[in-house]
Amino acid sequence: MPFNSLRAFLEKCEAEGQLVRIQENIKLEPDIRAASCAAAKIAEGPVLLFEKIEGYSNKQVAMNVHGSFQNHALMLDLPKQTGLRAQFAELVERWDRYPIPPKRVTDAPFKEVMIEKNLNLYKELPLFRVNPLDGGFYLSKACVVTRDPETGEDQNLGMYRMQIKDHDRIGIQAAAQHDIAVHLRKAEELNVPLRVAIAVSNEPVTSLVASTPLHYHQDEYSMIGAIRGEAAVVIASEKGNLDLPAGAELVIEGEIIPRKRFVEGPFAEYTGYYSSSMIQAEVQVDLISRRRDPIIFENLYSGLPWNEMDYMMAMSTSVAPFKQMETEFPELQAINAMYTHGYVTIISSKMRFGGFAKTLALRLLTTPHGITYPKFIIVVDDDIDPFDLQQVMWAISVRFRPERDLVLIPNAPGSTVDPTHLLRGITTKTIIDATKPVPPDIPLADGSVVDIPPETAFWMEEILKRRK
Amino acid sequence: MIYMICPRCEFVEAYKVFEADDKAWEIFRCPRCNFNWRSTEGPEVRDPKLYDSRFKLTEKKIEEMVAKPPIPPLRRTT
Repeated sequence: MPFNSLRAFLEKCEAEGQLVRIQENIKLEPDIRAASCAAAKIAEGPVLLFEKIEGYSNKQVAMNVHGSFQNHALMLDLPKQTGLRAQFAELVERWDRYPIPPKRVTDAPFKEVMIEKNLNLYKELPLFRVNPLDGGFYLSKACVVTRDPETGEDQNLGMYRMQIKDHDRIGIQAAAQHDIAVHLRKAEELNVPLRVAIAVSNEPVTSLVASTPLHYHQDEYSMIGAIRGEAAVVIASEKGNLDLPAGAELVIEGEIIPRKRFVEGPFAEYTGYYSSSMIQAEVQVDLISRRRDPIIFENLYSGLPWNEMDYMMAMSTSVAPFKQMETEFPELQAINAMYTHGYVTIISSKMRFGGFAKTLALRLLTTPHGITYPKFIIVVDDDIDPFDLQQVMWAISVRFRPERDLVLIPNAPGSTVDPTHLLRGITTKTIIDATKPVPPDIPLADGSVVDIPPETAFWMEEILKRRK
Repeated sequence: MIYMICPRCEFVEAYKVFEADDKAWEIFRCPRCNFNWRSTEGPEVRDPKLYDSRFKLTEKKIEEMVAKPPIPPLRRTT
């Protein structure tokens, strides 16, 4: 049964033992970041609900909502112990239900309180500094809606870091490779403001899809429907022409000021490093609508991996390129792009002919996510589970021939927050072909793999039984 | 308006932008570098002398910052 709000999902988590309520008085800094860092680092990390925040009598904070593969499974309405490969397979299957268009409603809980005058983000949200050297208080998990200002089509729902800079001003990172940057570029070429709506605290599949690299013309809400198996519920924005997730706790509407940039950052990024301060775009807020208090503010801890962001992005960055590639290459088995947004990506596939692994790696680099993020691509055969690193390391150990199987592509597009860059946004792509060479390539000299004894499964069960 | 020194860029016209209802803390902002801080954060955040030197900003550094994303040329109207 899909969840229609963050609150509904928190109830499910609590029923499954995946929610911990923090009921004592909590300081916004450093308590929330420290507890959130801890929650993602323990096994089966639960959601944290901070119920009493110093300085806010009527606000709560939810953290680590996606912060374990158990929470991730519950989000998909799967048993919480569902394994990684099984969750990947489930998402791959659900992806094919696209598009399930959203259901439109005319009323939503977040329309209960509408604020158009004396806007004050500091008052409406229990903001906090996520990491000690961030340049301010960030919305690190809000979903941003924009629409192509030229065509009026191609609405986008994305997740970008946003820095609260003043009571009605928000910095937004519109990195060039993301769809929002296409909208912003068009608006700035035309010298018009870009309408934007920011939905805070959403049901978890909304956040998952907002952070999934879909094609430009694909509709995120119709993908949310596909993943949920039930239409997403949306409501119209008050201004502009944007669809908003009806389950949100709070929505901020405004416009990106055209052709201006303002000091933003630094911010502790998914890389585990602080990105530099840059001048970035800014939103002038003109409306805040929200549920009646107590609202729940959901935010994301992004610090040294692994953390909640790694769990949230693990499957979305793996499944999206898989689906984008499999129509051309049905030999594909799975993609694991869990490491630092896919900086390291592992592709598992059957091999059509010699050299095919390179073809697959190069195709990955032309998917929406692959253009920038992956810089170290490992290709393995279909007998290797890419989610099992012991197997992947074995394949590299015994199938990779450096003189033939290492490809370096210099001066390629890369992530702008990769701390190794010499030129920001430029990287060297590395391809490691760890597949068994097949004709017309030269086969391995000693090419006979040792079989696992067929009785092994029987004995594994026996040993486990006797151990009890 | 009572001005303060920004701990990060040392601009002298930082100011209070919000105070908690129960006066548990205040938030300040710098209009030059957009730094925000809370009165209950540690001295390494609040004190210009203790702010991490790797992240200090100056007017020159701000002037030299790269625009992300770049501002495109205006479209020509015919």
